Amino acid sequence: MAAPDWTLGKPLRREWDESQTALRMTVNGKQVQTVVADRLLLCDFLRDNLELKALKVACGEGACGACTIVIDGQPARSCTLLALQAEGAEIFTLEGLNAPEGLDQVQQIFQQQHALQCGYCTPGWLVTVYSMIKRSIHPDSPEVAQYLSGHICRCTGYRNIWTAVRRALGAAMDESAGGEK
Amino acid sequence: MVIPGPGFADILVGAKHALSIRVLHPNVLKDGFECASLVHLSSELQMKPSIFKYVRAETADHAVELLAGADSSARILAGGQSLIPALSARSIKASLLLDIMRCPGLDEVSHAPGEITIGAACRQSRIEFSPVIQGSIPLLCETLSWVAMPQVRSRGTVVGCLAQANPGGEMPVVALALDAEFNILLRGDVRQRMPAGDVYAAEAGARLPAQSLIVSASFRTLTAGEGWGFSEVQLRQGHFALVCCAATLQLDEDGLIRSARIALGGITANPYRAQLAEKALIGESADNDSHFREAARLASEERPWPARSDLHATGSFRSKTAVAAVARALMDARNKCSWKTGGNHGRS
Repeated sequence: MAAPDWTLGKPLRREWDESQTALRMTVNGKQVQTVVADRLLLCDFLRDNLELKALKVACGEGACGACTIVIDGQPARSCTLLALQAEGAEIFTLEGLNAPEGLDQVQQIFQQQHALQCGYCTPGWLVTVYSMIKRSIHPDSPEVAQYLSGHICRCTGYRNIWTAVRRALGAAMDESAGGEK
Repeated sequence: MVIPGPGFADILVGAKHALSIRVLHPNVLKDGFECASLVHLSSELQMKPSIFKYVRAETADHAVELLAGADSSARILAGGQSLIPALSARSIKASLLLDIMRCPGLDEVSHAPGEITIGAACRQSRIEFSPVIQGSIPLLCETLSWVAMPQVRSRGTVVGCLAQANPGGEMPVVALALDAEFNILLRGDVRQRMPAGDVYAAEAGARLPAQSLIVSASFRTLTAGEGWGFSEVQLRQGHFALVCCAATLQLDEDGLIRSARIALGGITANPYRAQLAEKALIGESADNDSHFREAARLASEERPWPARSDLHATGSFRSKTAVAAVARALMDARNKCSWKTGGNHGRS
C-alpha cells in the first residue's frame, strides 16, 4: 500500500468514547488515508484536518452553497456529507480546480464584473462555474438559473454574478470551439 | 454575562458553531445561560452532530439485520441530504447510521413492461438525466428538476425523498400520481410491496413497517399519448414546495378526457390524490379550460386534512394557491397529450 501523500495538519479530536473509522480518499489528486470520528462532517475534515480553507461553512444545512466541492465529477455540498460517506471518492476543492498561481479566466471575469464583494461565498460559486463549464452548459440554458439557485450571496445582489457566470460559460465555449478548429 | 439574543451569540461564537447555539438558544433566552460556558461547550464539542456509530451495510439484508439489532434511533443513511443537516442541527439524534449506498443491487434501475423500478441508492441527478426515464416517465424527470438544487441532487436519492416524506417534498406527490409501489425488505428476507397511497395514508409521515428498508420504488410508465404536467409554487428556486401538483391526462379520439390523475402536495403534510376532481373531469372536453379550473377548485377543497400553516405561508394562502397550481398542471398535461412514446419507450 502506497504511503499517503498528505500529512494531516492537526491531530483529529474526538470524544473519548466515540466510534472512529478508517478513511481513504483522493483530494485534489493526492491520496489521503486517515482515521476519523464517525460523525465528522466532510467540510470540517477538509478545512480543519487537510487545511483546505477555500471552502467556507455558513449555513451547515446545504442551502447556501459556500461549502461546494466536486465529488466524483459532480458539484456537491460538503456540509451535508459525513467524511466517511466520501470513502474512496475523488474530491476536488477550489484549490485543486483553479490556476495554481494568479487568476484564471473565470476568476478574472468575476473580478471584472464585480461579482464579489466580501468574497465569503465566492469559492462556492467558482466551484459551481467550473462544474458547469465541464458539463458545457450553454450560457442561455435554463440550467444556469438552477445551478446558481444553489448559492446565496449577501453582498452583491445577483445581477453581477449572473452576468459573470454567463460570460465565463460563453468564454469557455468559445475556447473549446476554437480548440476544435 | 447573559446573552442578549441569538444574533449576538452567533457573532461571539462564530459562524462555525452557530448551529449548536441555534439548538440551545430557546433555553438561552429562557434560563439565561452564561455566554462563557456556551462558548466553552461548543469549542469542546468540535463537531456538529452528536455521537453516533457509522456502519456501511454490505447488503440490503445485512442492513435490515443490523437495524433489527439496534435501538429505535438507528437510521438508514442514503444520500443524507436531509438527514445529515438534521443531525447537525441536533433536531434528531441517532445511535447508528447505516449507509446503504454501497449495497450491491440498490443502485440499479430496472424495467418491466409498464413499470420502472428505481433502487434506493440511485441518486436524483442520475435519474433526472437518464435517457430511459426521460423517454418513459418524463413527469419524474421534470419533477426532479424542482427538487432542491443540482448541487444537492448530485447526492440525494429518489427513494430517500419518498421515505422522508417531507411536507414540502415533490417526490411523494409524483409517487401518488404514478401509482408508485414501494418494495420493502424486512428481516428474514421477507419482502413486501406497498402502494404509495398506503404509505402516505396518514396525515403526516411515511407509514412503513418497523425496522424495514425500502430497497426500491416502482413507477408506472406513461402510456402512449398520455399527457403529464407538474407545477409548483415555491419561495425561491430550490426551496421546498408551498404547494405542488402532479397530473396526468388521457384523451379519447374526440378530445374528451378518458382518465385523469391529480396528486397534490405541500398544502397538507402528506400528499393526497384528488379523486373527486379526477372523476369530475372524465367525459369533459379537454379544450375547455373552465373544466380544469373547476376541477382545480374541487381538488383543493377535497383535501382530507386541514391545510398546513407554517412561517412561510398560511393554510388559506396554500389552499388558494393550490387551485392555481392544479389548473396549471392540468392544462400543461392537456397540452402534452399529443406526447408520443417514440417506439417501445424503455420497454426492452
